[in-house]
Amino acid sequence: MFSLFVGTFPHLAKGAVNTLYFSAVCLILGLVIGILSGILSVIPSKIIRGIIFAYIYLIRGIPLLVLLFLTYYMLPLFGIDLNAGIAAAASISIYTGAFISEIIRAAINSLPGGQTDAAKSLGMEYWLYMRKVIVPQALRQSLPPIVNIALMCIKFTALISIISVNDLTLAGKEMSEVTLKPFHIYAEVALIYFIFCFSLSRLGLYLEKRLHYVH
Amino acid sequence: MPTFHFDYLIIERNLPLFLKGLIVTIEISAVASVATLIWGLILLFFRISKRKIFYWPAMGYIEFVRNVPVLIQMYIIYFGLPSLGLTFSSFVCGAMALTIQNGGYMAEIFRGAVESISTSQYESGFALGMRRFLVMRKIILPQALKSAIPSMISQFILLLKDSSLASSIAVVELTHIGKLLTERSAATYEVFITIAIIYIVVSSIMSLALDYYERKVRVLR
Repeated sequence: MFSLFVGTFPHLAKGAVNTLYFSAVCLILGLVIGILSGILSVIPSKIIRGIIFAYIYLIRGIPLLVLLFLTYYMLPLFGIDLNAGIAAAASISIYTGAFISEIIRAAINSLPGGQTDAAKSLGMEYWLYMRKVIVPQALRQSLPPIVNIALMCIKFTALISIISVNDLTLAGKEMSEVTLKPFHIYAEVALIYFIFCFSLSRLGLYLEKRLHYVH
Repeated sequence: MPTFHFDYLIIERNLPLFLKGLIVTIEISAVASVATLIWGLILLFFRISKRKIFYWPAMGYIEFVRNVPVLIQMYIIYFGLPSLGLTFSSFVCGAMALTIQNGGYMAEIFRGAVESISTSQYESGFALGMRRFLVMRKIILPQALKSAIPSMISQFILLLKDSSLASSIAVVELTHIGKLLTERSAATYEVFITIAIIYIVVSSIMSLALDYYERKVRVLR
């Protein structure tokens, strides 16, 4: 049985590297989308806030799998030929972005009102104090939850195997068909995912302890 | 400029099929939700026990379901268990995987609720001569579970969305209907836009029910 694990490990390792790479890309894109929409969701303009609210409401109301299929089949409308990788990256980034946006919005709203009062009394206008005062503090506060989102991102990327993008889950599927011992293979895959996610969660706890400061 | 032609006829002709898929989705979500409640309660007792023999397996279990994707858990049950001799139908496998995953989260929700009950409740119970288990059963749990209902319903909404993963284990629920229809017809994105709308409507109904409950509870307090 040990030889089974050792023999299948190289193939699974390639899939694991793909999974990590994909998660990183989706997390970075999701951060960009999420931070932007988080900032836009507290803007005084009702129209923009409404658009962001609609985006988050719609995205969080559907399962990720449905979003994956939807993006995959809507890509040709925009001229891109059916590329599962781009569809997967786009949909996971959009989905992650919705979660991150909620975190950023909560962080901005949790800052004491004295911050904006002080900035306004110094004569700063909206975008200046958002840029210099509010957003840096909000970002610092939301770092621990964002590590949690990164963990969720790794779990989200497990779904891209369903549209046949190379990742750890697909590698596990292939290996289980080759070796005809699905339980052992999927247990091994689960172990690899566990190691990734558990390390991330410990990193998150460490960051939370280090960033904790007394108000 | 791409042509945004929306083929309504396909949707109209296949409405019964969408309905069948929606019913299966609701069925598997309901079964898994009830099972999650029971399993979460059982896990809770293991989790808050002071004895290591109960505590560590529960913590290990909860960490496992937190760090392994739901899809892998489903594959382990659906593809893996038959090789060990345990074969279940795809519906049961999907429901089991959903229960295993959400049971862990539910136990954590319950734990948070139980820990939020003030110690004076325990003290009053002990002052009346009750033993620990009786205090839990008669005093703590009713209050804790009632305060946990909003988080529970949120978890059920997440469960409904995770049920879409059962489509990859050949459970003919809503997402699977979508896959079948796109293979049968050429109306790919119309089908999935409809499915997305159905999911949004169902989860909106559940969220509204949650909001209504929360408002009612707040008024009573």
